[in-house]
Amino acid sequence: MKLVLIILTGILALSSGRAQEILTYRLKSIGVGTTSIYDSYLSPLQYDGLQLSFIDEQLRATNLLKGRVVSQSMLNFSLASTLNPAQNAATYAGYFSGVFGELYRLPLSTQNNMPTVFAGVTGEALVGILYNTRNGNNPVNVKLHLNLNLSLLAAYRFQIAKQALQVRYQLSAPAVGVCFSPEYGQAYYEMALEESNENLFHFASWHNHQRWNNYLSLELPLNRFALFIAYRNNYYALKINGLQTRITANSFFAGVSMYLHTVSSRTYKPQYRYVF
Amino acid sequence: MCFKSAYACLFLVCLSSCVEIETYDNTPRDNFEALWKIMDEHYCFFEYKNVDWQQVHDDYSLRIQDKMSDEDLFAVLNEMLQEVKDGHVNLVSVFDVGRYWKWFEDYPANYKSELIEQYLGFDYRIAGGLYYKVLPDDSIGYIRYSDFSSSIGNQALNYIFTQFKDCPGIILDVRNNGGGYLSYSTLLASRFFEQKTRIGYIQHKTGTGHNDFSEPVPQYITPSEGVRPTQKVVVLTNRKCYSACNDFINAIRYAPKVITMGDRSGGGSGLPFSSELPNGWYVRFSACPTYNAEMQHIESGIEPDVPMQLSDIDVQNGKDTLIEEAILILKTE
Repeated sequence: MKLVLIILTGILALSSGRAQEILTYRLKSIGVGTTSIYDSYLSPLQYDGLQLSFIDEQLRATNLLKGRVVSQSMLNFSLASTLNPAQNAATYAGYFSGVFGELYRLPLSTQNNMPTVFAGVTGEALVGILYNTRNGNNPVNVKLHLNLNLSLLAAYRFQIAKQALQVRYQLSAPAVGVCFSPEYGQAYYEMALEESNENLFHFASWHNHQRWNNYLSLELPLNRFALFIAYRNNYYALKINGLQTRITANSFFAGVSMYLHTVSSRTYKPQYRYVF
Repeated sequence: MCFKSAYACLFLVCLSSCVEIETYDNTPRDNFEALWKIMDEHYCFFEYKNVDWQQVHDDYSLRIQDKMSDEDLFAVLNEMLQEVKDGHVNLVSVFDVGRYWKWFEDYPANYKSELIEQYLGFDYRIAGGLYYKVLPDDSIGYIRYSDFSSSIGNQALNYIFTQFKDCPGIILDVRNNGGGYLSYSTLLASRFFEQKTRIGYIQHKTGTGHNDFSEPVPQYITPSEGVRPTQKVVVLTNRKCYSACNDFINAIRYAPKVITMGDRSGGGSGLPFSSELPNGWYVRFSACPTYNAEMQHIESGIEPDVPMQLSDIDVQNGKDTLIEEAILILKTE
C-alpha cells in the first residue's frame, strides 16, 4: 500500500512538470500566565488566577497565487484556575480551539530589509467551559463559537552577533460567526427539557462579540530547530441575552519550532528555513 | 468624510459589545447593594408574592452602617432576604446560614421517626436512599424515601417493585423529604405512569425586569421501561416535603393509581440559582418558576388528595395515623 502511494505521488509530481516542494513550519509550545474571568451567568464578581496553555501550530507554504499564500493551522488548549476576590470560591475554565486558514503575503514584503507581512482569513471552532465549584443549578457556562477571523501576521529576520533571529507578531480577531449562549436566567436543566432550543445560537460579530489575540514571538534558530519564546494576550468579550462574559489572559510561552522540507512527499532532515 | 462616518459607525458597533463590570468594594454598603441587586435582577417570585423590592431596599438601606460588624451585617441582610418568604433563599457565611423555614415551622410535623421504626423494624432493606419492607400484618409494600439527594437506581427500583408484586398496595412515604435532585424525582415518578404525561411547566427570566419571563416550557413524565407497580399507591406527605419533593408530589398527582395523603407540602417550586457577595458570602435564590399542568403556582405547596393529620391518640399507641389510614385505603380497594 505504501509503495502504491509513493508511486502515485511520484506520478502526480512528474505530471506537474517538476517535483512537488513543500516547506512546513511546526511549532509546539507551552505557556503559563495570568487570567481574569468575569461571567455574569456564574457570578457578579471577577475571578483571577492562572492559566496553562498548549499550542500546536503549523504553517505550510503553498503554490497558490505564485507562492504568496501560506496555510496556517493552530490548535490551542488552555486550562485555567481562578478564585473570587474573597478567595473562597473557584472557577475553573477549559478552552479548545482549532484555527485553519490562508494568509496572503502582501506586496510590500518583497522589499529588502522589510518585514514579511501576511493578511488573511481563518476559520475557527472554539469550545470552552467555565465551571464554578460553589454554584448549585448554574455551575457551568459553555462557550461555543464558529468564527471567521481576520488575521495579520508580520515576521522580521535580523542578526545579533552573527546569530540569526526572527521576531513575529500576529493579531487575529473574529469578524463574523455563530455562538451559543443560554438566555438570561435559563438553566441548563431546562435546555435538556426543551425539544427545540432555537434561541440558543446567535449571530456574532463586533456588536456583541469581541476577541483579540495578540501574539509576539522571538525565535532563535539553531541547526535543526529553533528555540521559541512568546508573549500572548487574549481578550474575549461576549454580550448576549443580557449576559456578559469577559476573559483576559496574558501568557508567556516557550517551545520548539521546526522546518520540514518535503520534496515529492519525502521529508528531508529538519533544517532551519523560512516559510514566511 | 465617508471613511470618517464608517469609522464612527464601526467604533459605535464595537462600543456596544463592551462588557461593563460593576465593581464593588468589600464594605457593608457595597455588600448590601450587591445582594439587593442580585435578587432584584434574578429572583423570580416578586410578583407572585407581592413584594415591593424597591421599598425593601429603601427600608433596609437605612440600617446599613459603614462600620457595622459582619454579624450585624449578616443579620440585616438575612432579615431583608426573609421578606420574600422563600425556603430556597439562603445567605451563607462561615459563621451562619440564613434561612426561612416558616413553611414547616409554623405547622404540625405529622411525622415521628420513632413511629416509622414500629413499621420498618430492624429487618428492612436498603437500596440507595430507599428503605423498604413488606409490612408483615397487611402485606402492604412500604417504601421510605427521606432525601431526594440520596441515590435511586433503576435496578434497585426494579428489584423493589418485583418484591412488591403480590402486595395489594404500596405506601411511598416521602414525609420530611426536603428535596434534592430533580432527576431522582423524575426517575421515581416515571415508575407510576402508563403513558407520557404533561405534569407542569418551567420558565426562566429573560431580563432584569421582575416580569421578564420566557414562554413556559412543558415538562413531561415518560413511563419507565423498567418494572412498574400495577397496584394502588398512597404517597404520604407533610409540610416538610419541599423543593424536589414538592416537584415529585406535583408529578405523582397526575399518575393514574396514586393517592396523596397527609398535609399540604411545603412548596419551593423555584429552581434555585447561586451567586455571591464581594465579601465571599454565598447567596441562593429562586430563579426559574415551575408550575403544575394547569399552569398554577406550586410555590406555596400542594394540597393532598386525602388530608390527614397525625392523631395524638395514635402516637400514644405507637401508631402512625397516616400509615394506618393508607393501609386501610389500600386494603379496602
